[in-house]
Amino acid sequence: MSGLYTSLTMAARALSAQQLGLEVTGNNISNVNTAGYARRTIDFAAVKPESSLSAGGGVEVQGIRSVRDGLLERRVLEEVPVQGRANELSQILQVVESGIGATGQSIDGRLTEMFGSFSRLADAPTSAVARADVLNTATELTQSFHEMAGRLSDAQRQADSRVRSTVEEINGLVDQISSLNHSMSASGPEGRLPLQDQMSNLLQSLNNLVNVDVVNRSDGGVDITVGSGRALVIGDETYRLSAVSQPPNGLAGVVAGGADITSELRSGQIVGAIQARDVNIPDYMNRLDTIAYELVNQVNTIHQGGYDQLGNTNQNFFTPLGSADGAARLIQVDPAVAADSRLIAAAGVNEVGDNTVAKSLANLRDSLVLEGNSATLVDSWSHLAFRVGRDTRAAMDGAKSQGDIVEQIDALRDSVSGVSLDEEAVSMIKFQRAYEANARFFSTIDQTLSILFSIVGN
Amino acid sequence: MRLTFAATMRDTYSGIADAAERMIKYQRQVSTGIKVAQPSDDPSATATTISEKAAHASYEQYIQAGDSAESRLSVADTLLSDIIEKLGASRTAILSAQGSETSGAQRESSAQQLASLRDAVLEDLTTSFRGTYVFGGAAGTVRPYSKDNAGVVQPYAGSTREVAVDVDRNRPVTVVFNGEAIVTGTDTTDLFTAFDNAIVAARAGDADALHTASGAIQRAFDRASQVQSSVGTSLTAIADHTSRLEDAGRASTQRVASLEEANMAEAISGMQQAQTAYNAALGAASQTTRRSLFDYLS
Repeated sequence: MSGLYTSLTMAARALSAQQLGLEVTGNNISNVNTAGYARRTIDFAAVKPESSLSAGGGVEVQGIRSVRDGLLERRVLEEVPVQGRANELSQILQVVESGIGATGQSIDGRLTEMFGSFSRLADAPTSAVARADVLNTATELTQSFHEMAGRLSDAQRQADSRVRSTVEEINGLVDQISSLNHSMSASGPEGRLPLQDQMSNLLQSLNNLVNVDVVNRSDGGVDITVGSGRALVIGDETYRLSAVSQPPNGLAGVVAGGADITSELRSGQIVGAIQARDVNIPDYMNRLDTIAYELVNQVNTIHQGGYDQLGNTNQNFFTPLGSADGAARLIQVDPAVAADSRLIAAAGVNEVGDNTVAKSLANLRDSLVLEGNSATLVDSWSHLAFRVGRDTRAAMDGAKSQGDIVEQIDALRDSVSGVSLDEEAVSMIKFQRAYEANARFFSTIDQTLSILFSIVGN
Repeated sequence: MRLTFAATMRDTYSGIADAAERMIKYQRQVSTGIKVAQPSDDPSATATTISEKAAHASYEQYIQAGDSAESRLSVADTLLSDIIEKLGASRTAILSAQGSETSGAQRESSAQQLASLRDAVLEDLTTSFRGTYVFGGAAGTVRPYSKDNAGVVQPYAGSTREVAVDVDRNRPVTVVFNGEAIVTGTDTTDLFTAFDNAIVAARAGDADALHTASGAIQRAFDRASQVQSSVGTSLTAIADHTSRLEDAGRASTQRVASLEEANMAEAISGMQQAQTAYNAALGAASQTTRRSLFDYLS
């Protein structure tokens, strides 16, 4: 009799185990679209027989675990920040690129128009119309420089704004991770699985923003450092970053524990924004300033050697600039000249019909005055456009390439941890059939017991 | 390798997105006719296009300067032809006034003819074009010669500095001339003094003075002919340079087109291929996502 009751108990335990298996399958199917979710698997083990004459104790559930590959998880965390940096740089540079303008319709077009107007002035040095034309084209050119400098400055400020907002996002994630650390240490191993999913998700998001180093804790939580070992999260303690405006231009530095760690950051979205803000855009601004500064100097030098219609000499055409710094923003036609076109010096001698200086100014178009006397002003602008295009293309290609790498590693990780609906369907059938078989076994034992009870009753 | 639902979906989307991106790229090329819309589309082509467009604008500018110079030189050529003709007529008039048989009436007629020719030459030499005197040099708006109240032509008031414009790189062409170089040259007195002397001599029947004046007018004739010759050379040079600049401009336009403009046949073909790929990606997605093992469970 006791053997049959043992069989009944074994069947009941088996029914529970298969039912739990079905629940795990259902949970996997439910979370098929949950980011960071690692599929669960149930571990069964045969219960040891009580004696050598016993068939065995049936099945027992040893546990439910999530299927993860630590190596692949780490590879994802290594590659995601590189992707974040490339994506951010690409996005900011595409904005910069859109401000460069179409060929022939930007600074290059305005330069060409101004030199054209000097050429027309050379053809008719006494013409008031030709003089007004020079003023118009020169003013248009200065406005184009101002607009271009403004666009670059705006892009730099937007990149700075991205740095500041990314610091806030990092702090938000750091808070969530420390809170999760606390929950993990408070919960038992069985309650940690969903928390691990969340942690995996948060770490990936954090690494997308900034490259961090992660050390796993024995309680299931993580300790996180950034830069050269600066603590971000230790247990449930957080060490927040801050974005502090720095002299001379007020752009934000990333500060941790009072130390500026901007230069310590290696990758992540924030580094893409910092690179665009501190390297790419300043390079473009410097080049634009150099073109504007050299234009002012060259035109003024020639103009000073000429005579205007009133017989004045040694006059500037553009307002002189002290240095190239900010030249594109500051360039302007000398106010006196702008107010009276007769003050444009077209003549090389004090005779109003002479056009020597106007010709020299027109010929400046072809003069190699930049980049070690190897480039004209338009050449230098074309080099700037080339650099913007090249940097943007490289950033876009980098983002695409890095995206492919992350996608491949993600696919590998998915092949281990992801939910396969076909596999879950098979599991569902497997547990369902096992449940049916165990139910039949239970029924058979029950019928056997009934027969025995009826014999006893008779 | 396990194929998961998320990986399948990601691959499906990635395939559709890539095909759509290619299709949009070709669509943009077909609709705008431009294949380099942003510097990053082809940085090198962008830089070259900027330089080519600047060079093209420079050719256009030189052609425009050449057209303007040609107009001025055509006027100068006409005036010089007129001056040369008048100077030739003046020498004929002087010859008519010479000779012992010439009557007083004939000499007076010659004198009046010389006065008329002098005034005509003066008018030619003080002609302005587009606001500046053709033979006034760099003085521009200053009338080079004028008469005083007594009708005597005053010394040259223009500039001895001539004005040139560039009709090509390093190719200047003189368009405003030094009138004094024609009227006086290396002589000690100018052409108008010679005319005045000839008129007085004609009336007086002074053969020696007429001969001297005739020589001075002949030298002015030579100087004017020399200037006209240089004008002709300049006009030929302008035509040659304009032709070269037009050729260079056409070549530059072609280079810009090859760099910047889309090959429509290629773009349309590419768009059709991309569209086929896009439709295939959509079809593949609908096929792969339509069924799973769950569809077969009862």
